[in-house]
Amino acid sequence: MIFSNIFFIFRFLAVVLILYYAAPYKYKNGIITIASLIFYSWGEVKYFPIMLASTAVDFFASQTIERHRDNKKITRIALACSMIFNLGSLFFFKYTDFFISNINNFFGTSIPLLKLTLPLGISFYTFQTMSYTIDVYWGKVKAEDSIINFSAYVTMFPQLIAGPIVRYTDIAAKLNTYEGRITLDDINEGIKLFILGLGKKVLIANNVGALWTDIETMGFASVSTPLAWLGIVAYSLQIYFDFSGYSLMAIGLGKILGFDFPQNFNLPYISKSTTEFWRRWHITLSSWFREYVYIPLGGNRKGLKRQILNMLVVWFLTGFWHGADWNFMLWGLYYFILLALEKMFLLDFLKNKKVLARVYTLIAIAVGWAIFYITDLPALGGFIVKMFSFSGGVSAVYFFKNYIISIIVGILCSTTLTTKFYDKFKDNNLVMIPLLTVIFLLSIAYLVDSTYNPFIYFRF
Amino acid sequence: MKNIWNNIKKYPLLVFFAVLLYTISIADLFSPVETFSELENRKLATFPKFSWQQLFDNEYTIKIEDFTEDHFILRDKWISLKSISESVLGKKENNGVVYGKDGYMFTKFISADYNQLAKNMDNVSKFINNRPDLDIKFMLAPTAPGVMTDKVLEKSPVVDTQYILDYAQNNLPEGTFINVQPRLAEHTDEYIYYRTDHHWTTLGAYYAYEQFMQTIGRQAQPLDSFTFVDVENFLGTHYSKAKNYNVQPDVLSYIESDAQITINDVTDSIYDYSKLDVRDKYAMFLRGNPGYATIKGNGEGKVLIVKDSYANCFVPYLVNDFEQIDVIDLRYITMGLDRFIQENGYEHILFLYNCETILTDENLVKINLF
Repeated sequence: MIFSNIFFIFRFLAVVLILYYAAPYKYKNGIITIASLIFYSWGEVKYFPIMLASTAVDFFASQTIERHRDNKKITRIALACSMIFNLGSLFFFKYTDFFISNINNFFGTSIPLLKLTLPLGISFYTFQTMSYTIDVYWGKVKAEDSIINFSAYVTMFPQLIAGPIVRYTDIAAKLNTYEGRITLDDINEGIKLFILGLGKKVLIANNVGALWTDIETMGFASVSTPLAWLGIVAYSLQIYFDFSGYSLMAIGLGKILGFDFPQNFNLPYISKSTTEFWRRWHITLSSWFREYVYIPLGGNRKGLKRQILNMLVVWFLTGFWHGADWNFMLWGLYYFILLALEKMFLLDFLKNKKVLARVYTLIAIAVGWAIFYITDLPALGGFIVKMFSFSGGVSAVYFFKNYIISIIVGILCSTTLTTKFYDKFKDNNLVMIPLLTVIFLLSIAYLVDSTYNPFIYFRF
Repeated sequence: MKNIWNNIKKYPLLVFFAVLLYTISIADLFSPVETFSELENRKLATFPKFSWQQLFDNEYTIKIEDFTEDHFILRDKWISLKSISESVLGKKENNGVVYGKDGYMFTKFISADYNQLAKNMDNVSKFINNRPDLDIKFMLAPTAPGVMTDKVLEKSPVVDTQYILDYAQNNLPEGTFINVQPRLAEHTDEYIYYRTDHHWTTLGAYYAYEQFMQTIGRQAQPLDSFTFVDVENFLGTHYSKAKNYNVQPDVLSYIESDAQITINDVTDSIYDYSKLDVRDKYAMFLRGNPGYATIKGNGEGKVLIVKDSYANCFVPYLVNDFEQIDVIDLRYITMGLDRFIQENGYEHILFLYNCETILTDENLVKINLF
């Protein structure tokens, strides 16, 4: 199930909230678990057992670590079990076909592909459960004693399928708080965030996204240079509003249920370097890689050479995490190169050149999205040539007229205007109630007549 | 309890949206279930019957979502709201339909695949070349963007009819292609294409009829010999997709005729007048799209029309010129044309397709079957 859906809002959520609020405190985590399992199985019933297994493995691994603190060997084996299970299932479902098809290409063999549907959100929840067991192993947190509470954490539907990547430590306290978990303040705030997130996804992302889909249909190499840029701007807005809208809906739903999820996006397109961009984009993923890969590898404490190598590892993995294809690796390496250059001299160079820094960053990000999206490497090359060669092709005139207002709205909403507005008026009901009502009703209208409402994280 | 209420009163936003969510949810649950959407001219989803098989194929849950969406309370109002919002955003299209000037709508074409066109022209050429003793003509009707060019917004993604017409001209045997585009283009100030539907009007079809008759060396009946009957408030296929709130309905017209059509041994008027009371009014012509039908005329000679729906309002013009007019819609027949030809001994065979159908139609391969 996805959030931007009539059934989710007016059936699933409406029922779950009544049950959740009406239930006695001790049953609330159980209700979250059951509701989340239904939510998860809705799109792919067969993967229900995988979710159960995933929960059970990390629960028992962490329990074992907790009980045998003094026995290094046992704790290590338990940790290894969790990692092997999580990475193994992620690898099996997400990457097997990629490797098989490459082996087939390379050796001329014809091993059949598995053609498995990727379990929804597997890249998100395996990272979450792994981080929990590692935290327990490191002694940062005590293992959860109740399997119900733990399942509620793993499966919690608001963040299950597209992040933010919530760590156990983020919500452990609330999970074990029964009375006083839910406050009217939080619900009130949660409603605002959910509706704003819904609007970001349905009204902005879907509205500009159709342009990029059209360009894909036409063929990336057939467009004119202006249309190529118009298209990549549209896609940049689509992926930001789609993803951050989804995260915001998750954070809002979390608050409605009484949990505080970490912020996941912080106006990434106002960045003045790609280094800053990655501090503002998908924050919970970058910090996950920093915490569980980069720092354990030594971070920046072992000299510049080692630091660069560590960055290479992190960015290779970041790229590959986003999808099982060469272009995603290329995308990770692309950012590795930019970040390394920035670390070495570019940041200093750009320091007092505000305009240049922004232009450079936005162009770098736009090229990045082209690499991210276009899986077919020759088509990708063709498209990038189009972007920088000023050549003819399908005219941008029609598409410009059709999309320009949506694109301008998207650009304005990517700046500090939105946060300033929100900070100023968030407690002013005379502004917020009418504004959110309009956004909510318009979003429903677009969902009822949904000609274009993609879920773009199937590859994650 | 009183305490909670006093607390809640401090959160009007929360109360407002909670009431909104549950009012809509409950009202929706109790709203009557329609089976057909007049607005969209389609059957709405039905509630799925549970089966484990469907559940495990992930079909059951999707069907429940579709059902909820299709039967959502005030569905048509939401659709209009979206349309208004789209128009505020300056959108020039919706759901595969591109808006033009003066209420015209066109099918959206962002990339044309001409492979099927080439295959279709090959099949037709082969058919014609193998039957040198028959008089066979092929007419491709341009769709609205190719004729009403000043109604098309600049650089709109619509079909390139000129390319298709040129391709047909160059690839069909000499003297068999009828290009009706220039003649239609002379009449663009007349009502020759519907705004909300993908067909030409009955008047537009007249000019094609005129040209066809001229091509086979006969005289067309003059336009004023036909009596046109107008039917107001026609909303066509483009509108069913675009559902734009500011639509300008069309006037559907047909020529008076008491000709009879025989479909599956049942003989009736060539018009199904009952269709004039429903949304899909164009379906009155030839009573829809029969696979094979025969019309008794009061002229001379026999003609076979192999066609798509563009021919439906064209055929009635032929009634006074031929003694027998047969129509074949290849989608609904399984054998080739030879049996029909041998049985009836047609003097003329006309293929009549429009420029958009010919790009995707996969049934023309059947004409060379036995």
